[in-house]
Amino acid sequence: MKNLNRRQFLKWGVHTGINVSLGASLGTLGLSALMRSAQASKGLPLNPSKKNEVDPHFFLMITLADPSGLDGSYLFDARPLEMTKAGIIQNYRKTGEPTLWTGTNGISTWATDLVKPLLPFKNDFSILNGVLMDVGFDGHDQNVNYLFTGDPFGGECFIPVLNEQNPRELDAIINGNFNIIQNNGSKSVPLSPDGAQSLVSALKKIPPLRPNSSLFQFVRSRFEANAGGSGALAESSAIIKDAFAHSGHLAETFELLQSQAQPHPSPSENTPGGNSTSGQPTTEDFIRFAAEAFRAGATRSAICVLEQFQLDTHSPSDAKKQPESYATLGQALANLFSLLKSTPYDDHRSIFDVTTFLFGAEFGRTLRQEGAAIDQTGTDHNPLTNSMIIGGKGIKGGQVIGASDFGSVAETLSPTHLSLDPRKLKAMGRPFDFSQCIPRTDLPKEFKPGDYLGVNSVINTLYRRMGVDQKHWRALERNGAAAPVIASLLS
Amino acid sequence: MKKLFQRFMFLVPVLFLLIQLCNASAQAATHLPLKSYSKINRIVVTRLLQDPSFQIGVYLLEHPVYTEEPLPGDPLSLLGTYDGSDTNAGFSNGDPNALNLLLWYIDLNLFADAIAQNCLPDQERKFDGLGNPIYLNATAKQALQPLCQWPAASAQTDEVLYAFWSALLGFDAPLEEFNAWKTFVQQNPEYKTAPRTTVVSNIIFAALFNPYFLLAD
Repeated sequence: MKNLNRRQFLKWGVHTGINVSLGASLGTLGLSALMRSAQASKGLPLNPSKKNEVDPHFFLMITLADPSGLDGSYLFDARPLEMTKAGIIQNYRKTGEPTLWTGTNGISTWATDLVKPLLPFKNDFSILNGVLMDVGFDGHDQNVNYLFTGDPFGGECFIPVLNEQNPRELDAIINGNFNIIQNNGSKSVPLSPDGAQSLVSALKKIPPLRPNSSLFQFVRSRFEANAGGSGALAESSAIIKDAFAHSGHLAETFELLQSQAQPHPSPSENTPGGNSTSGQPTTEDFIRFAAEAFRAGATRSAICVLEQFQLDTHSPSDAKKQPESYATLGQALANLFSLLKSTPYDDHRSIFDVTTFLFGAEFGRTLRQEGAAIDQTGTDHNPLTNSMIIGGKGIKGGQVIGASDFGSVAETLSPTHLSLDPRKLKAMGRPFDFSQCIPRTDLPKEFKPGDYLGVNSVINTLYRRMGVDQKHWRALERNGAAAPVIASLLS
Repeated sequence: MKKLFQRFMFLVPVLFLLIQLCNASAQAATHLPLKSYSKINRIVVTRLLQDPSFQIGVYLLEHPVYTEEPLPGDPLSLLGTYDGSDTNAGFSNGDPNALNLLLWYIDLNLFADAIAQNCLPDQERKFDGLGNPIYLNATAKQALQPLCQWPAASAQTDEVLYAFWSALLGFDAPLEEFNAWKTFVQQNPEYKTAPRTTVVSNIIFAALFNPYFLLAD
């Protein structure tokens, strides 16, 4: 029987579809292959996987580690200082009136100067304000589940669904603490560059294999034999058999990474956007790694968790750190956008050009806590409003979409708002006119989800953009109609 | 008839609930996840090794493993682990996918190699992922010893193979699986001439990389 070296083995396995074309073919893959810097790749021919279609489209979710929450008043949903003086909203920046940030769609929002690092990218993304989460729950987990699955108790995560038209061996790679209850998560894996390094190192120890050897035919035969019939074991054996077959293709994609490998300088030092101590992979390393995985065809989505932010600011002491935290966050997002734009996908496109991205956390924060002095208060959970950023491929940037209420001392709040927030501790998304994609000025008397810009509309907009079958679209409410898409983001 | 219907009207919601429960349990039974890393580790270490603290994850990590349950972010968590908190606590990465099977493939291959090294004299043995030899417990050593005589006829008897199968898998798999494995081992022409450590390593891997062993109970 002919012995094959690793590369020959890989090719043989892939071309014949034999599901034993595994790790040995990955044997020479190094961390440098996974963490190649954009700089190092300049001037080198890029060779995206043959699996990549003519019109590649990837997705990057940027989020914060649960528990979190995002206080838009420090970024793109600020309030005038008079509201702090009136004791309505905490503002530990204390000085500096927010300024108007006007979108290309003519809608304005108040923004703090903490968003300055994002100014160079103003037309690359659109701001979503006043996004309602699950108004029935204010827990972290329920709203994280709601953001990703449309159900506070979990369900179908939207990210694997985005891959439906053109699936990969992995639905998504994740860089950090990402715990949601999802029924379609088996192919979403936490694979960071350092995890890959361990894998790569172990693969080096696997000896050359013979794909047609009796050993592997035997292993495969046991999966096949047990996959027949009905019952949990039969179904599971069938899943293993199929997954194992895809392991061979995963090996192929790693081989592609390896073929483009260039030495990588030592892991970058801490920068905003990085999330670990020196010598450990940073967020930026993960983005580079994700870019490699996109190019190689291993996955079409990445979930980048910014773990270094502590924005669950219930305690006044944590809340007082917000100016610094949000300044760092603004810079981190700017660094990520810059990296996406400077990281090539192929000879004429950047990763930014081929990737749609969404930034958001589980909910907003309350304006203050009841009974606390305005300069000694923390903030609690507020699912009545949220701020998000969306952009990249197929998304029209530069706009301000939606708005939250309670924007001035004298504002009259709607009966709906007062019914959901009788103590006036929260801002709430304003009603939204989906036909014109502008906030409405009326004051609804009772809560109807269709009156508001909900996160389910944001997800359905992504679904529309990425061609997801309408059977997956999220409903406005349980058993209700599909949440409308935000048409102006797609035009 | 109407009275009869009214009389049993209260059963309607009960029946509805029962139907829902049946549906739910039917759906829940559709497939099994892989065993967690910690469970597979515990099984093989308990059955085979002297050192109960040994972690088979060293072959993937190349550094000591101190926690039995991999933490989020640990590469071993890709093999299936319990994580999360509150309502989001649960078993992660355990549904079979291309990556976790690839990782199990590598890890069990290297572990099988290390076990097979016990057929060699001490001075010829290769070591584990950290440069240490691994030692079998008395039961496993007794089961392996006759196999180390491979390809001698005495190493290929049903009794020897069954003893080794039992040491490896206990009662995890039915007799049909043993018979298939035994036939594979006894009738494989490649194994008539292959080095004994290669044969022993291969047949260990062939036993472990089986759905009955890999899948959760």
